[in-house]
Amino acid sequence: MEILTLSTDGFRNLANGRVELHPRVNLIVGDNGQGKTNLLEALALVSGRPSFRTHDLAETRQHLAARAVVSVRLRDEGGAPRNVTTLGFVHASGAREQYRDGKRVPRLTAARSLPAVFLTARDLSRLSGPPAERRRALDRAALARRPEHARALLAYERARAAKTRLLSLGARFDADELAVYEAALAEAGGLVAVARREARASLEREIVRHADDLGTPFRNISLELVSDLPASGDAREMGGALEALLRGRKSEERRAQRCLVGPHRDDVLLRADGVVVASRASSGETRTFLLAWTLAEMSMLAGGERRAPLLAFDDFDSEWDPRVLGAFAEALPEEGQVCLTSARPEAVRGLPLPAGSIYRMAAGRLAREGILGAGRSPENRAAAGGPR
Amino acid sequence: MAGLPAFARLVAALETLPGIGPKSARRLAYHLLAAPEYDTAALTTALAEARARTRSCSVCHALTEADPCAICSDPSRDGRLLAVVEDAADADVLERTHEFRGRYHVLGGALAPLRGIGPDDLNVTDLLARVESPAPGEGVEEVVLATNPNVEGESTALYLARRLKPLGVKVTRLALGLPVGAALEFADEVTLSRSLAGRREI
Ligand SMILES: [Zn+2]
Repeated sequence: MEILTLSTDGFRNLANGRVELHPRVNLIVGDNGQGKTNLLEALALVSGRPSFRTHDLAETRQHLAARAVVSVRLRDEGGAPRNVTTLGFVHASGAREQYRDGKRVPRLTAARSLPAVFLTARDLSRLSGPPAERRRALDRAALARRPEHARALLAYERARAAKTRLLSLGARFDADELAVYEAALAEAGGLVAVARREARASLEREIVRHADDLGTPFRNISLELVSDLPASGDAREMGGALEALLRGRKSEERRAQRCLVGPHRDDVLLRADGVVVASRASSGETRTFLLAWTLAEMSMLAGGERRAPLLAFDDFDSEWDPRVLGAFAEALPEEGQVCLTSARPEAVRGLPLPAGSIYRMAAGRLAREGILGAGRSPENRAAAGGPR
Repeated sequence: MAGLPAFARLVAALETLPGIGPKSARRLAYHLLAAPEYDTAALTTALAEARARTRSCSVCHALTEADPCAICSDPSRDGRLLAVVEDAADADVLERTHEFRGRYHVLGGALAPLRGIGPDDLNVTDLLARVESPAPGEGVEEVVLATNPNVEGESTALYLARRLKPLGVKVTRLALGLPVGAALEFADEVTLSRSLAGRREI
């Protein structure tokens, strides 16, 4: 999948209009606050993903603009030049809309049309922060394997919202109505639980493989799912287990007026030699694992969608160990488009990146500045001294 | 629409109708006002008359001019069979299949806790009353839950099944052939006849 052009209108500080992207690596350089991250956010939104910067998409709209619009023209790698798909994102009057070839589509359709992995400032706390980000990352892996996971997640969250609302009515809710949403919760929860257990196993395998590529000194790396539900069983058994848990916590939940048990409390812990990585490893080592996790997500998405995903990496320089970053550049898959932003291009130019274009972002305007590297020729690889 | 406040009010009024977005509302407003042949008086009179003459049937809550409605007072309808629908338009859709010979009960919506719509906001109490203490000639034996096949309609059907089954009545659900997330009113008659024939007990 290859983005040919990106257009924005009324979006953050980006100049209205269209830019062409390189089919392989796009290195976007520029000082902070010029719009580099805005461009990656535009890619996240147009591909149906949540913004990694804000919960309020109205913030993406320019002052005085009636709406924020992003669109991309896409082509399958090696596809016919005329066989182009257009994806669109519009945010106007509080509502988000996604389009494909002019037709309104669900966000999942947009996401599947442009498989992508994002690595931004928000991900830096994935390993050490609260469970929500890790849960989201696990769900992305589950979606990569089986897109239907989205339906179960949505059904679970809907049932949970309905149940929470009824519980908040105190003693005045209708017990039969509550039972309906609890049954829906158990059914969807069982499906979510099974999908996450399967995704955990694949994600662990991929993280181990890529951590090794990146030269981590740790051995015995594992990804542990911490859950209220049992470690194995099919969706029905998991649903039954959740129902039993709900029965056991019934009066407690009514007092607390919220859901106290279920997959919405799941966590995933990355361990090395038995110890949770975030608690023991240095921040540099933790970041190596985050890069391994990113490559793992890319592999899973490439496997699930049978297409190389886009990688969007914000701030590809500061705070990353140059040796690990070099290994990461080496470990990038042979295919797929990459968008990197950097405020320190000199730190990036020597890395063994595939061929591409360098752009400069200044005051929301993107201008091509030069070409990047000569690709990963055998000589370059030898010179870079990468792990392979 | 600057300088056209009356036009803007018309567009806003049309936009409140189901299925009408801002674009269609503007197109309709232009048509109503700009087409010289358009008889606005006929439309407003028809609307006012329909509004004044129709009411909700005191038995089934369908739209009617006489109370009880034609179906509720028709002795040839099968009083043992009762179809529960979300709104009056859905009863009309089932009627067009000519397959259903029972009577109807209009709920007036579906359960939606997040929008604050609970059982008390729907015509549930008198549905249970119709089943529990039937009117002469009505002894309901089977309740067909024909709520929409979307999340809210499914939850409503499951809820009603829980309330109805203890009353010793057979409870069935329309299901086959209807796409998930669809609304009854968009189903064609053949599909609907098939889902009526293939209804299953829940
Ligand atoms: Zn009636």
